[in-house]
Amino acid sequence: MIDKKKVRSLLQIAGSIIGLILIMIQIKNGILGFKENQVGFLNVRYLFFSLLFATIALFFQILGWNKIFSFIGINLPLRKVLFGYTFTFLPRYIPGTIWGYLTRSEWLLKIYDIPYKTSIFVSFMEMIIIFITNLVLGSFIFYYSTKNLLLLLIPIILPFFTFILIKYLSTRPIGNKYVINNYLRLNFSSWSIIFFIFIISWIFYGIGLIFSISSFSIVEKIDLNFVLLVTSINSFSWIIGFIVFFIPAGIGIRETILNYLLINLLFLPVNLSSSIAITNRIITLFAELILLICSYFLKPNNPNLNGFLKSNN
Amino acid sequence: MKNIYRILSTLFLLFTLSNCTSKIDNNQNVENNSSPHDSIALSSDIFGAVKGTIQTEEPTDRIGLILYLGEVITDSNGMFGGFLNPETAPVAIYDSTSGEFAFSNVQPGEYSLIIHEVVLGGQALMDENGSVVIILVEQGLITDLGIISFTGF
Repeated sequence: MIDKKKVRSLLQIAGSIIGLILIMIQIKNGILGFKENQVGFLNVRYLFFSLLFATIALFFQILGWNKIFSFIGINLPLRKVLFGYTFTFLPRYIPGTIWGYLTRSEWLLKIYDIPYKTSIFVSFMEMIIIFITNLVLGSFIFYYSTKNLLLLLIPIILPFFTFILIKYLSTRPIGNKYVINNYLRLNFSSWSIIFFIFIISWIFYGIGLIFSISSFSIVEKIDLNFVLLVTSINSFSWIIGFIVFFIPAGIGIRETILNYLLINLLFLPVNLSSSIAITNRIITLFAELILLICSYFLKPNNPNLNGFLKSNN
Repeated sequence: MKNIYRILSTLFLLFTLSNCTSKIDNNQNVENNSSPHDSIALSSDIFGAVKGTIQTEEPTDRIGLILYLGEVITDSNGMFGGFLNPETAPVAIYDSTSGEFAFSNVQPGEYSLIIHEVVLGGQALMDENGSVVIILVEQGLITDLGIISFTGF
Protein backbone atom coordinates (compact mmCIF):
# COMPACT_ATOMS: atom_id res chain seq x y z
CA MET A 1 0.00 0.00 0.00
CA ILE A 2 1.49 3.32 -1.05
CA ASP A 3 1.53 5.97 1.63
CA LYS A 4 0.24 9.03 -0.28
CA LYS A 5 1.41 11.45 2.40
CA LYS A 6 4.90 10.06 2.25
CA VAL A 7 4.97 10.20 -1.54
CA ARG A 8 3.73 13.81 -1.46
CA SER A 9 6.34 14.94 1.06
CA LEU A 10 9.06 13.13 -0.91
CA LEU A 11 7.90 14.91 -4.07
CA GLN A 12 7.93 18.25 -2.24
CA ILE A 13 11.48 17.72 -1.01
CA ALA A 14 12.65 16.46 -4.40
CA GLY A 15 10.90 19.37 -6.17
CA SER A 16 12.46 21.96 -3.89
CA ILE A 17 15.94 20.47 -4.34
CA ILE A 18 15.57 20.21 -8.13
CA GLY A 19 14.25 23.78 -8.34
CA LEU A 20 17.08 25.07 -6.17
CA ILE A 21 19.75 23.28 -8.23
CA LEU A 22 18.27 24.55 -11.50
CA ILE A 23 18.07 28.15 -10.31
CA MET A 24 21.62 27.97 -8.94
CA ILE A 25 22.87 26.80 -12.36
CA GLN A 26 21.17 29.79 -14.00
CA ILE A 27 22.56 32.21 -11.41
CA LYS A 28 26.06 30.74 -11.88
CA ASN A 29 25.79 31.16 -15.69
CA GLY A 30 24.53 34.72 -15.27
CA ILE A 31 27.40 35.66 -12.94
CA LEU A 32 29.87 34.07 -15.36
CA GLY A 33 28.47 36.24 -18.15
CA PHE A 34 29.07 39.39 -16.11
CA LYS A 35 32.53 38.20 -15.08
CA GLU A 36 33.57 37.52 -18.66
CA ASN A 37 32.06 40.83 -19.83
CA GLN A 38 29.66 39.01 -22.15
CA VAL A 39 26.69 40.56 -20.37
CA GLY A 40 26.47 44.31 -20.61
CA PHE A 41 25.26 46.93 -18.21
CA LEU A 42 21.61 46.94 -17.28
CA ASN A 43 19.44 49.69 -18.68
CA VAL A 44 17.41 50.72 -15.64
CA ARG A 45 14.77 52.50 -17.69
CA TYR A 46 13.86 49.28 -19.54
CA LEU A 47 13.85 47.38 -16.26
CA PHE A 48 11.31 49.85 -14.94
CA PHE A 49 9.08 49.26 -17.98
CA SER A 50 9.48 45.52 -17.54
CA LEU A 51 8.33 45.87 -13.95
CA LEU A 52 5.43 48.08 -15.01
CA PHE A 53 4.18 45.59 -17.60
CA ALA A 54 4.57 42.63 -15.24
CA THR A 55 2.54 44.51 -12.61
CA ILE A 56 -0.20 45.34 -15.12
CA ALA A 57 -0.18 41.70 -16.27
CA LEU A 58 -0.70 40.53 -12.69
CA PHE A 59 -3.52 43.02 -12.31
CA PHE A 60 -5.24 41.59 -15.40
CA GLN A 61 -4.81 38.09 -13.97
CA ILE A 62 -6.67 39.17 -10.83
CA LEU A 63 -9.29 40.91 -12.97
CA GLY A 64 -9.84 37.67 -14.88
CA TRP A 65 -10.21 35.70 -11.65
CA ASN A 66 -12.69 38.30 -10.38
CA LYS A 67 -14.67 38.00 -13.62
CA ILE A 68 -15.00 34.22 -13.19
CA PHE A 69 -16.62 34.90 -9.82
CA SER A 70 -18.95 37.52 -11.26
CA PHE A 71 -20.04 35.19 -14.06
CA ILE A 72 -21.11 32.56 -11.57
CA GLY A 73 -23.13 35.18 -9.71
CA ILE A 74 -20.73 36.25 -6.94
CA ASN A 75 -19.69 39.88 -7.17
CA LEU A 76 -16.52 40.65 -5.27
CA PRO A 77 -15.43 44.31 -5.36
CA LEU A 78 -12.07 44.40 -7.17
CA ARG A 79 -10.56 46.96 -4.76
CA LYS A 80 -11.27 44.66 -1.85
CA VAL A 81 -9.97 41.44 -3.38
CA LEU A 82 -6.83 42.90 -4.91
CA PHE A 83 -4.86 42.71 -1.68
CA GLY A 84 -6.32 39.37 -0.58
CA TYR A 85 -5.49 37.73 -3.91
CA THR A 86 -1.84 38.82 -3.93
CA PHE A 87 -1.36 38.17 -0.23
CA THR A 88 -2.88 34.69 -0.19
CA PHE A 89 -1.00 33.69 -3.33
CA LEU A 90 2.39 34.23 -1.72
CA PRO A 91 2.53 30.82 0.05
CA ARG A 92 3.09 29.14 -3.31
CA TYR A 93 6.74 30.09 -2.88
CA ILE A 94 6.86 27.95 0.25
CA PRO A 95 7.94 24.39 -0.56
CA GLY A 96 5.05 21.98 -0.23
CA THR A 97 2.27 24.49 -0.83
CA ILE A 98 0.51 23.67 -4.05
CA TRP A 99 -0.08 26.87 -6.01
CA GLY A 100 -1.35 28.83 -3.00
CA TYR A 101 -4.95 28.14 -4.04
CA LEU A 102 -5.83 26.55 -0.72
CA THR A 103 -4.81 29.65 1.25
CA ARG A 104 -6.97 31.72 -1.04
CA SER A 105 -10.00 29.46 -0.47
CA GLU A 106 -9.51 29.85 3.27
CA TRP A 107 -9.43 33.63 2.91
CA LEU A 108 -12.58 33.68 0.76
CA LEU A 109 -14.43 31.55 3.32
CA LYS A 110 -13.38 33.72 6.24
CA ILE A 111 -13.97 37.11 4.70
CA TYR A 112 -16.74 36.58 2.14
CA ASP A 113 -18.31 33.39 3.40
CA ILE A 114 -17.70 31.69 0.07
CA PRO A 115 -17.77 27.91 0.50
CA TYR A 116 -14.68 25.89 -0.35
CA LYS A 117 -16.52 24.11 -3.18
CA THR A 118 -17.17 27.40 -4.95
CA SER A 119 -13.71 28.89 -4.47
CA ILE A 120 -12.02 25.65 -5.47
CA PHE A 121 -14.22 25.51 -8.56
CA VAL A 122 -13.22 29.09 -9.46
CA SER A 123 -9.56 28.23 -8.84
CA PHE A 124 -10.00 25.16 -11.03
CA MET A 125 -11.53 27.29 -13.80
CA GLU A 126 -8.77 29.84 -13.39
CA MET A 127 -6.14 27.12 -13.70
CA ILE A 128 -7.77 25.77 -16.86
CA ILE A 129 -7.99 29.22 -18.43
CA ILE A 130 -4.43 30.13 -17.44
CA PHE A 131 -3.27 26.82 -18.88
CA ILE A 132 -5.25 27.19 -22.11
CA THR A 133 -4.37 30.84 -22.72
CA ASN A 134 -0.70 30.04 -22.17
CA LEU A 135 -1.00 27.02 -24.41
CA VAL A 136 -2.61 29.18 -27.11
CA LEU A 137 0.22 31.71 -26.96
CA GLY A 138 2.90 29.09 -26.31
CA SER A 139 1.82 26.98 -29.29
CA PHE A 140 3.24 29.65 -31.61
CA ILE A 141 6.60 28.18 -30.58
CA PHE A 142 5.83 25.12 -32.73
CA TYR A 143 5.15 27.37 -35.69
CA TYR A 144 8.38 29.31 -35.17
CA SER A 145 10.37 26.07 -34.82
CA THR A 146 8.95 24.35 -37.88
CA LYS A 147 7.48 27.22 -39.98
CA ASN A 148 4.52 24.93 -40.69
CA LEU A 149 1.48 27.15 -41.28
CA LEU A 150 -0.92 24.38 -40.23
CA LEU A 151 0.37 24.69 -36.68
CA LEU A 152 -1.18 28.16 -36.53
CA LEU A 153 -4.53 26.39 -36.33
CA ILE A 154 -3.74 25.20 -32.79
CA PRO A 155 -4.21 28.61 -31.12
CA ILE A 156 -7.44 29.11 -33.08
CA ILE A 157 -9.01 25.73 -32.37
CA LEU A 158 -7.85 25.30 -28.77
CA PRO A 159 -10.14 27.89 -27.05
CA PHE A 160 -13.25 26.53 -28.80
CA PHE A 161 -12.30 22.96 -28.01
CA THR A 162 -11.78 23.78 -24.33
CA PHE A 163 -15.10 25.57 -24.07
CA ILE A 164 -16.95 22.64 -25.67
CA LEU A 165 -15.11 20.20 -23.39
CA ILE A 166 -16.05 22.14 -20.25
CA LYS A 167 -19.66 22.33 -21.39
CA TYR A 168 -19.69 18.60 -22.09
CA LEU A 169 -18.12 17.77 -18.71
CA SER A 170 -20.71 19.91 -16.92
CA THR A 171 -23.48 17.68 -18.27
CA ARG A 172 -21.81 14.45 -17.10
CA PRO A 173 -22.66 12.80 -13.75
CA ILE A 174 -19.20 13.64 -12.46
CA GLY A 175 -20.13 17.27 -13.00
CA ASN A 176 -23.30 16.89 -10.93
CA LYS A 177 -21.41 15.15 -8.18
CA TYR A 178 -19.00 18.01 -7.75
CA VAL A 179 -21.70 20.66 -8.24
CA ILE A 180 -19.78 21.91 -11.23
CA ASN A 181 -22.76 22.41 -13.47
CA ASN A 182 -24.66 24.26 -10.74
CA TYR A 183 -22.05 26.97 -11.03
CA LEU A 184 -21.35 26.64 -14.70
CA ARG A 185 -23.33 29.52 -16.01
CA LEU A 186 -20.51 30.40 -18.31
CA ASN A 187 -21.86 30.96 -21.77
CA PHE A 188 -19.66 31.50 -24.77
CA SER A 189 -19.55 35.29 -24.46
CA SER A 190 -18.53 35.24 -20.78
CA TRP A 191 -15.97 32.54 -21.55
CA SER A 192 -14.61 34.77 -24.33
CA ILE A 193 -14.36 37.79 -22.01
CA ILE A 194 -12.39 35.82 -19.39
CA PHE A 195 -10.26 34.24 -22.08
CA PHE A 196 -9.52 37.65 -23.57
CA ILE A 197 -8.55 39.15 -20.18
CA PHE A 198 -6.09 36.32 -19.53
CA ILE A 199 -4.65 36.58 -23.04
CA ILE A 200 -4.02 40.31 -22.40
CA SER A 201 -2.40 39.38 -19.10
CA TRP A 202 0.04 36.98 -20.79
CA ILE A 203 0.78 39.39 -23.61
CA PHE A 204 1.70 41.98 -20.98
CA TYR A 205 3.95 39.41 -19.28
CA GLY A 206 5.53 38.82 -22.70
CA ILE A 207 6.09 42.56 -23.22
CA GLY A 208 7.63 42.63 -19.74
CA LEU A 209 10.06 39.93 -20.91
CA ILE A 210 10.87 41.98 -24.03
CA PHE A 211 11.84 44.88 -21.79
CA SER A 212 13.90 42.51 -19.62
CA ILE A 213 15.77 41.41 -22.77
CA SER A 214 16.10 45.02 -23.96
CA SER A 215 17.55 46.06 -20.61
CA PHE A 216 20.71 44.15 -21.61
CA SER A 217 21.17 46.56 -24.54
CA ILE A 218 20.79 43.96 -27.26
CA VAL A 219 17.50 45.04 -28.85
CA GLU A 220 17.45 48.15 -30.97
CA LYS A 221 13.98 47.98 -32.49
CA ILE A 222 11.20 45.45 -32.26
CA ASP A 223 8.45 44.27 -34.58
CA LEU A 224 5.15 42.42 -34.12
CA ASN A 225 6.74 39.11 -35.03
CA PHE A 226 9.28 39.52 -32.25
CA VAL A 227 6.57 40.45 -29.72
CA LEU A 228 4.64 37.30 -30.62
CA LEU A 229 7.73 35.10 -30.48
CA VAL A 230 8.85 36.39 -27.08
CA THR A 231 5.29 36.21 -25.70
CA SER A 232 5.05 32.58 -26.80
CA ILE A 233 8.48 31.82 -25.31
CA ASN A 234 7.33 33.31 -22.01
CA SER A 235 4.03 31.41 -22.07
CA PHE A 236 5.66 28.12 -23.00
CA SER A 237 8.20 28.33 -20.18
CA TRP A 238 5.40 29.31 -17.80
CA ILE A 239 3.35 26.23 -18.80
CA ILE A 240 6.24 23.85 -18.12
CA GLY A 241 6.73 25.43 -14.69
CA PHE A 242 3.00 25.02 -14.06
CA ILE A 243 2.92 21.36 -15.08
CA VAL A 244 5.85 20.45 -12.83
CA PHE A 245 3.62 21.22 -9.85
CA PHE A 246 5.91 19.76 -7.19
CA ILE A 247 8.46 22.56 -7.70
CA PRO A 248 7.36 25.62 -5.68
CA ALA A 249 6.13 28.34 -8.08
CA GLY A 250 8.02 26.60 -10.89
CA ILE A 251 11.24 28.19 -9.61
CA GLY A 252 14.25 26.91 -11.50
CA ILE A 253 12.36 24.91 -14.09
CA ARG A 254 10.76 28.00 -15.63
CA GLU A 255 14.11 29.78 -15.84
CA THR A 256 15.76 26.70 -17.36
CA ILE A 257 13.11 26.40 -20.08
CA LEU A 258 13.19 30.15 -20.73
CA ASN A 259 16.98 29.99 -20.98
CA TYR A 260 16.78 27.07 -23.43
CA LEU A 261 14.22 28.84 -25.65
CA LEU A 262 16.10 32.14 -25.65
CA ILE A 263 19.24 30.32 -26.76
CA ASN A 264 17.59 28.21 -29.44
CA LEU A 265 14.97 30.60 -30.82
CA LEU A 266 16.56 34.01 -30.32
CA PHE A 267 20.14 32.68 -30.63
CA LEU A 268 21.27 34.47 -27.50
CA PRO A 269 24.49 33.47 -25.72
CA VAL A 270 24.04 30.99 -22.87
CA ASN A 271 25.20 33.30 -20.08
CA LEU A 272 23.17 36.24 -21.34
CA SER A 273 20.03 34.06 -21.56
CA SER A 274 20.54 32.95 -17.97
CA SER A 275 20.88 36.56 -16.86
CA ILE A 276 17.65 37.45 -18.67
CA ALA A 277 15.78 34.48 -17.14
CA ILE A 278 16.91 35.42 -13.62
CA THR A 279 16.14 39.11 -14.19
CA ASN A 280 12.68 38.22 -15.41
CA ARG A 281 12.01 36.13 -12.29
CA ILE A 282 13.16 38.98 -10.04
CA ILE A 283 10.95 41.40 -11.99
CA THR A 284 7.93 39.10 -11.53
CA LEU A 285 8.61 38.88 -7.79
CA PHE A 286 8.89 42.66 -7.54
CA ALA A 287 5.67 43.06 -9.55
CA GLU A 288 3.88 40.92 -6.96
CA LEU A 289 5.40 42.96 -4.19
CA ILE A 290 4.41 46.27 -5.80
CA LEU A 291 0.85 45.11 -6.35
CA LEU A 292 0.73 43.85 -2.77
CA ILE A 293 1.88 47.22 -1.41
CA CYS A 294 -0.39 49.24 -3.73
CA SER A 295 -3.42 47.09 -2.96
CA TYR A 296 -2.66 47.36 0.76
CA PHE A 297 -3.06 51.13 0.52
CA LEU A 298 -6.15 50.78 -1.64
CA LYS A 299 -7.93 48.20 0.48
CA PRO A 300 -10.73 49.40 2.74
CA ASN A 301 -10.05 48.98 6.44
CA ASN A 302 -11.88 45.71 6.85
CA PRO A 303 -11.71 44.31 10.41
CA ASN A 304 -12.37 40.77 9.11
CA LEU A 305 -9.50 41.03 6.64
CA ASN A 306 -7.20 42.39 9.33
CA GLY A 307 -8.20 39.46 11.52
CA PHE A 308 -7.34 37.07 8.69
CA LEU A 309 -3.94 38.70 8.25
CA LYS A 310 -3.19 38.42 11.98
CA SER A 311 -4.28 34.80 12.12
CA ASN A 312 -1.91 34.06 9.25
CA ASN A 313 1.10 35.77 10.83
CA MET B 1 -8.68 58.80 -3.66
CA LYS B 2 -5.82 60.04 -1.49
CA ASN B 3 -4.26 56.57 -1.71
CA ILE B 4 -4.46 56.55 -5.50
CA TYR B 5 -2.58 59.87 -5.60
CA ARG B 6 0.01 58.41 -3.23
CA ILE B 7 0.53 55.37 -5.47
CA LEU B 8 0.66 57.47 -8.65
CA SER B 9 3.18 59.87 -7.13
CA THR B 10 5.33 56.90 -5.99
CA LEU B 11 5.25 55.47 -9.52
CA PHE B 12 6.12 58.87 -10.97
CA LEU B 13 9.04 59.16 -8.54
CA LEU B 14 10.26 55.68 -9.48
CA PHE B 15 10.04 56.52 -13.18
CA THR B 16 11.95 59.78 -12.69
CA LEU B 17 14.58 57.90 -10.70
CA SER B 18 14.93 55.27 -13.42
CA ASN B 19 15.48 58.03 -16.00
CA CYS B 20 18.20 59.56 -13.87
CA THR B 21 20.03 56.31 -13.27
CA SER B 22 19.73 55.17 -16.87
CA LYS B 23 22.09 57.98 -17.82
CA ILE B 24 24.91 55.93 -16.39
CA ASP B 25 24.04 53.05 -18.72
CA ASN B 26 25.66 52.58 -22.02
CA ASN B 27 25.20 50.32 -24.98
CA GLN B 28 28.40 48.43 -24.71
CA ASN B 29 29.28 45.24 -22.97
CA VAL B 30 32.76 46.14 -21.85
CA GLU B 31 33.83 48.07 -18.83
CA ASN B 32 34.30 51.80 -19.25
CA ASN B 33 37.74 52.93 -20.44
CA SER B 34 38.77 49.44 -21.53
CA SER B 35 38.84 48.33 -25.15
CA PRO B 36 37.90 44.76 -26.12
CA HIS B 37 41.26 44.53 -27.89
CA ASP B 38 43.03 45.25 -24.60
CA SER B 39 40.95 42.63 -22.82
CA ILE B 40 42.22 39.71 -24.90
CA ALA B 41 43.62 37.08 -22.59
CA LEU B 42 44.96 33.64 -23.37
CA SER B 43 44.76 31.52 -20.26
CA SER B 44 46.89 28.87 -21.95
CA ASP B 45 49.08 28.48 -25.05
CA ILE B 46 46.69 25.90 -26.41
CA PHE B 47 44.16 28.63 -27.19
CA GLY B 48 44.11 31.37 -29.77
CA ALA B 49 42.25 34.68 -30.04
CA VAL B 50 40.47 36.79 -32.68
CA LYS B 51 40.03 40.54 -32.82
CA GLY B 52 38.59 43.09 -35.23
CA THR B 53 36.44 46.18 -35.64
CA ILE B 54 32.95 46.40 -37.07
CA GLN B 55 32.26 49.46 -39.19
CA THR B 56 28.76 50.54 -40.18
CA GLU B 57 27.29 53.48 -42.09
CA GLU B 58 25.53 54.79 -39.01
CA PRO B 59 27.09 54.34 -35.55
CA THR B 60 23.66 53.36 -34.19
CA ASP B 61 23.64 50.31 -36.52
CA ARG B 62 26.31 48.78 -34.29
CA ILE B 63 24.03 48.76 -31.26
CA GLY B 64 22.66 45.41 -30.20
CA LEU B 65 24.96 43.23 -32.29
CA ILE B 66 26.16 39.91 -30.88
CA LEU B 67 29.24 38.36 -32.47
CA TYR B 68 29.86 34.63 -32.56
CA LEU B 69 32.47 32.35 -34.04
CA GLY B 70 30.37 29.81 -35.91
CA GLU B 71 31.30 26.50 -37.46
CA VAL B 72 32.27 26.25 -41.13
CA ILE B 73 30.22 23.96 -43.33
CA THR B 74 30.60 23.09 -47.01
CA ASP B 75 27.66 22.72 -49.37
CA SER B 76 27.39 20.40 -52.39
CA ASN B 77 28.85 23.10 -54.71
CA GLY B 78 31.95 23.39 -52.57
CA MET B 79 30.87 26.77 -51.18
CA PHE B 80 31.51 27.48 -47.54
CA GLY B 81 28.77 28.44 -45.12
CA GLY B 82 28.53 29.37 -41.46
CA PHE B 83 26.62 27.42 -38.86
CA LEU B 84 25.75 28.78 -35.44
CA ASN B 85 25.20 26.69 -32.35
CA PRO B 86 24.76 29.36 -29.66
CA GLU B 87 25.25 26.79 -26.89
CA THR B 88 28.84 26.11 -27.91
CA ALA B 89 29.95 29.02 -30.12
CA PRO B 90 32.50 31.48 -28.66
CA VAL B 91 30.94 34.90 -27.97
CA ALA B 92 32.85 38.15 -28.45
CA ILE B 93 33.35 40.94 -26.00
CA TYR B 94 32.01 43.80 -28.05
CA ASP B 95 32.00 47.57 -27.76
CA SER B 96 29.18 49.03 -29.85
CA THR B 97 30.60 52.54 -29.53
CA SER B 98 33.92 51.79 -31.23
CA GLY B 99 32.84 48.60 -33.00
CA GLU B 100 35.81 46.74 -31.53
CA PHE B 101 35.40 43.08 -30.67
CA ALA B 102 37.56 40.29 -29.32
CA PHE B 103 37.28 36.55 -28.78
CA SER B 104 39.57 35.17 -26.08
CA ASN B 105 40.55 31.57 -25.37
CA VAL B 106 39.31 30.05 -28.65
CA GLN B 107 40.12 26.45 -29.51
CA PRO B 108 42.35 26.36 -32.63
CA GLY B 109 40.49 25.60 -35.83
CA GLU B 110 38.46 27.12 -38.66
CA TYR B 111 35.56 29.41 -37.88
CA SER B 112 33.13 31.81 -39.51
CA LEU B 113 32.25 35.19 -38.03
CA ILE B 114 28.54 35.42 -37.37
CA ILE B 115 27.00 38.82 -36.75
CA HIS B 116 23.70 38.42 -34.96
CA GLU B 117 20.93 40.82 -34.05
CA VAL B 118 18.18 39.51 -31.82
CA VAL B 119 15.23 40.76 -33.91
CA LEU B 120 16.70 40.71 -37.41
CA GLY B 121 18.63 37.44 -37.15
CA GLY B 122 22.17 36.40 -37.98
CA GLN B 123 24.51 36.66 -40.94
CA ALA B 124 27.91 35.10 -41.57
CA LEU B 125 30.72 37.29 -42.86
CA MET B 126 30.99 36.69 -46.64
CA ASP B 127 33.57 37.44 -49.29
CA GLU B 128 32.83 38.99 -52.72
CA ASN B 129 32.04 35.53 -54.17
CA GLY B 130 29.31 34.87 -51.64
CA SER B 131 31.36 32.31 -49.76
CA VAL B 132 31.89 32.51 -46.02
CA VAL B 133 35.18 34.05 -44.88
CA ILE B 134 37.12 31.36 -43.06
CA ILE B 135 38.88 32.51 -39.91
CA LEU B 136 41.86 30.45 -38.89
CA VAL B 137 42.57 30.36 -35.18
CA GLU B 138 46.04 29.14 -34.21
CA GLN B 139 47.58 28.20 -30.89
CA GLY B 140 48.93 31.14 -28.90
CA LEU B 141 48.22 33.62 -31.71
CA ILE B 142 45.84 36.54 -32.08
CA THR B 143 44.12 36.61 -35.49
CA ASP B 144 43.42 40.19 -36.50
CA LEU B 145 40.46 40.56 -38.87
CA GLY B 146 41.03 44.30 -39.22
CA ILE B 147 38.10 46.53 -40.11
CA ILE B 148 34.95 44.74 -41.24
CA SER B 149 32.39 46.76 -43.16
CA PHE B 150 28.95 45.65 -42.18
CA THR B 151 26.12 46.96 -44.33
CA GLY B 152 23.30 45.48 -42.27
CA PHE B 153 20.86 42.62 -42.58
